[in-house]
Amino acid sequence: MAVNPEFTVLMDVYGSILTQKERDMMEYYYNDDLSLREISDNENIARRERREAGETAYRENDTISRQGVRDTIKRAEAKLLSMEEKLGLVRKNREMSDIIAEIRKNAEIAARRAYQARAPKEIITAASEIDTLAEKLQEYL
Amino acid sequence: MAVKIRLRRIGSKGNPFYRVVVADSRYPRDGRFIEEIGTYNPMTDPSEVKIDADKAKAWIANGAQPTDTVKNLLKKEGIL
Repeated sequence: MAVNPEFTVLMDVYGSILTQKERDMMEYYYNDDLSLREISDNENIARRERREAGETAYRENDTISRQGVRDTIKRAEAKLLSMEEKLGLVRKNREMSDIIAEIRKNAEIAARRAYQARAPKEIITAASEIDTLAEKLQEYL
Repeated sequence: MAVKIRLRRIGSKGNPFYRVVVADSRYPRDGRFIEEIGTYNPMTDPSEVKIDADKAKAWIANGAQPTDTVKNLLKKEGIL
């Protein structure tokens, strides 16, 4: 299964620590649903075109195999998992997101109940202010 | 050039969401595709799949190849 939301989200958060090549291949694999074979074929065509355009970065037989693509992706995955293990940003974001949703739910209940009970206006305003602030927090995630 | 039915990610940071598209097997990054036949949201529980069954069947009958991921979704939806 080439589409794994877990790695896609890890890429969003930690993608910048990967090399350009690792990032490209991860994106082809997880965001574009390409097979390992398609990634290596596309990469080899791109290298040939660059060579023919006079860029000397790649020599005649400098091609990447399907296995080479697989190794690159596996290495990138290991880097992402290791970052998550150390920093836990994805897990923390998820937990925070749940808590903020809970805060908003409670703020809405408080505002509604306060209104129904004809509570002083400051209480209703304060409850909706909590909801507005929680909504702003959501944008940081 | 082989025509494939594959997923393509759209959706914001941290919130993956996919289109099911019919596309050429080359030039994946420039966003070109032939037709969009559905969407897939893996983040809901259970995940949400919307695929136009008639279009999917027609494309497959015409030789378009679904990727393994798409094949799984089609089976799940009872289209394959």
